[in-house]
Amino acid sequence: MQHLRMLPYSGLCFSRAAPHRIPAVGHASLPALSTFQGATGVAFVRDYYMSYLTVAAVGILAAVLFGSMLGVARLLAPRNMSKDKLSTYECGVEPLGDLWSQQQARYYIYALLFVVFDVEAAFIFPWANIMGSFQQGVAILVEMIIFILILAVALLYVVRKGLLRWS
Amino acid sequence: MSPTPPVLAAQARASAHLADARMAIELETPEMTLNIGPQHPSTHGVFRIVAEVDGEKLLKADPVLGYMHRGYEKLAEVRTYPQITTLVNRIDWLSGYCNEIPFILGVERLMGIEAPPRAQYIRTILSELARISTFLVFLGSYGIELGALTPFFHTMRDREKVLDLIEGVTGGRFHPNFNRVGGVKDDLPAGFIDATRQVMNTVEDICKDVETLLFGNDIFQQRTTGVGLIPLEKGLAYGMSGANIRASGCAVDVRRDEPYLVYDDLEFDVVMDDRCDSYARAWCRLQETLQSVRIVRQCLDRLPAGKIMAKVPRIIQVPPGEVYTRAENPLGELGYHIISRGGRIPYRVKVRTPSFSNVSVLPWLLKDVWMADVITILGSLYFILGDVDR
Amino acid sequence: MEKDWLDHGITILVVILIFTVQMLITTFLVLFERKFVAWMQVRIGPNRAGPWGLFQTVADALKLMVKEIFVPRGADRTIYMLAPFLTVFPAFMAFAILPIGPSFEFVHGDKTHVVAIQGANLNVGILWLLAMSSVAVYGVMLAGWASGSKYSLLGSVRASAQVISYEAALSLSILPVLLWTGTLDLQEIVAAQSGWNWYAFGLLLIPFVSFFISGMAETNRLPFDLVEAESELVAGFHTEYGGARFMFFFLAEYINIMTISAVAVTLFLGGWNGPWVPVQADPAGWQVALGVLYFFLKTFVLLFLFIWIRATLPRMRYDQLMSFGWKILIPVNLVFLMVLAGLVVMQEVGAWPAGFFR
Repeated sequence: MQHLRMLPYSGLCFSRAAPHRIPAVGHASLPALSTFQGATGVAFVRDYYMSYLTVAAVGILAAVLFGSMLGVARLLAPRNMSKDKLSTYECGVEPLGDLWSQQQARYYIYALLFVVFDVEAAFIFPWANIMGSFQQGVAILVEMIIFILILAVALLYVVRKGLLRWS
Repeated sequence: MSPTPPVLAAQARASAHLADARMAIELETPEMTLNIGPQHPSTHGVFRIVAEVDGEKLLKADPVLGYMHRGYEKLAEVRTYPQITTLVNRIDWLSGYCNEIPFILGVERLMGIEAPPRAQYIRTILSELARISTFLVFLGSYGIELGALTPFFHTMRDREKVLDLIEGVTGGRFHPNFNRVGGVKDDLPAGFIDATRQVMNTVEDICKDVETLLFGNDIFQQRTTGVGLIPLEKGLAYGMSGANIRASGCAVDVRRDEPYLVYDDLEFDVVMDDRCDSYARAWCRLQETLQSVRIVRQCLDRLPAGKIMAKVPRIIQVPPGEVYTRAENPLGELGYHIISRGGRIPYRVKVRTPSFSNVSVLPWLLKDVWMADVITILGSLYFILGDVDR
Repeated sequence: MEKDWLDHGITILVVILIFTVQMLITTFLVLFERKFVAWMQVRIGPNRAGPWGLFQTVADALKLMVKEIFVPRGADRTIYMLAPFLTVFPAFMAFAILPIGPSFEFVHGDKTHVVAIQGANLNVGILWLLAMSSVAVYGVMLAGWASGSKYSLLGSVRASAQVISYEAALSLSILPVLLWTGTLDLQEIVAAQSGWNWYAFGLLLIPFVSFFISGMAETNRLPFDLVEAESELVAGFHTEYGGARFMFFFLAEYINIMTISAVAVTLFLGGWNGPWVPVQADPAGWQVALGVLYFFLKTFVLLFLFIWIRATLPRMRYDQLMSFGWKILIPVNLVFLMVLAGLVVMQEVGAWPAGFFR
């Protein structure tokens, strides 16, 4: 038997937990979710945006903190510039050559690899979410294993090609 | 469809080549020239390397020396012999006492004086204590260079105890200036022998701790093994000495090869390793600390009674002559070439410092190495800037 | 039921409370680290500002605020000034969605109000955490780039490569939790771990360890502090920063390690779960307090681990770091994910006893 909990945003996050993975104690009325239960459609949307508004409030608090501390610092700090003080640090001697030098493309390979694996994770996240409660469990497991194997081969290729080494 | 005329095909190929070449020029990443030092956290003073850096790799390094030059050789030419011991104390400031030994021995040899046995033993004990204190600094600071902060504080704590011993005898912790021509200034204080025995146990303990906790650490081993390989012939060609050359598989030690003070009466091993890398160099120093402990213990056992000064004239006048004396300093082989034309002041004192030769290998060694390994290698060579620049 | 002004008021109160507590804990975390490291290094540590140096961090902050503010020649002014904020901002945002204690209800008038001790219960939960830790890369990267100094630049390209590499490992080590619980909602993940079913004590120990390691790399802590490797790159990406702006990098680092510990607690160590804290609705007041206490206690244990490791290990080299991430952490996580998915499917079809590993 499958316990189906209706969540206001269940269309977004596929929260259909199978019974064996949610403990028997209290799963019927999870405290945080009881807020939303029985709410009407308009309220769902409102609550949905409210939660992001709350996070935004934290961001605003952080910005206020940042701004006020810098403001206080601006009031308190002395200002006494000189040419040497404004030069960048290079172990106590005049910087040699161009400051904005180019960097190796070798670092860039990690960025590419990261994109590959993060996009992979983005695909796996929804899959992992419904994995337990989906009827054709074996089928989507096999599909995902094929997907991961392809990526594993890609990683193997990168390693064999020596791209993870510097030279 | 007519085939492409060969001339046109060749032109197309040529222009494609040119385009490729242009691309190559446009996409070329210029190397970054970077100053490592003089004011850098891990060059132990004002040592400067002008490096060509390519991302994480250092392609070429050009050491710039001389920021610490204090002109000791020239200064020695206008000072009396007893005054010069004060100067040479400051060459390698971590083991000031060891710097005095070969100079005093040279002057004594020129004058035909020999210090009494008790003085010789006291000199040996103090030299080895200075060696231990220097190596404790190395064992701690090498950890810091690799990012492990904790060993430093533990070794420094125990080094304090060694310095306390030196202070108890000489009154100075870093620059004792305790040697006189023909002996030492004072006898050992009461209770010195027991205190030293205790401290030697402490030093042994800390060495064991460092061996298991730092040298036994996986990351430490990965960071140091195979890094900064100096083959024996290269090391010899650059005139390296001390633990640096012993880690390259050459068991030279002035204390054994050309014994001075009382080293020929004592039993100790010349620590040698043939792995040639940074790990071997650090490991050699660790083992040498333990050997020094052994030497100090033997000296304490055999310490003879008697006078501490030979009979010397009130004013030191050195007859004309020339002498080269050398000694095994913690950093390597330290030598003084003293030329006297008679009188109270030497004509010329040439100092052969170990660090200068040890550092000279850097341009050859620092080619195509990881940025992080630069610090590993610099630390493992263990030089003191005062010793490089004099 | 509709939310009324009281609910919104409570939310705002909780947000402000969490923010304050976060700042306070960060302040004392700095002192705590210094004291602990000092203890391990046979030193005394800060002991001048207030009793036992309690106000050391405050004194440090004040000192940094009266330092001269300047922008080095050759720096990109706007980005240089913006970068510290870009580092602090995601650090705060990530913490805001963590459930710190059990929710409770109270009746006011004829309505029952629910108070969740959590900034916001986002439906995307875990994804938000990952998003914020990705955004944090920008602050470090731009700070180093905008400084116009070579050491900063070297530090920041290293930082970007390192952080994004371990970001991939981090997200892959979160996935097993997702697979096991089947939800992104952090409250539900915590609820699912009630009654000592903490994931780190079971099969999910492997992703927990992997998460912790990648978390250390994400926050640039030893042995992964290549970004600001003092003995090589002087101070890495913040070489050119001083005064109040430096303070924000410092702050962000500590908030980040706290966030990583708190996330690890939430995902793997049962969040606020513990003895005498019920999961069902409406716990008593003391039980709520106990839950919050458990949460911070567990976070504290992980923080201690962070500090302990910092005092113990040397730093890794860039290539070792990268090959560890890509050749060990990520493949292990991928394999573990597939094995776990297989187990879940086997439980679904009944080939494996349900709850075997729990």
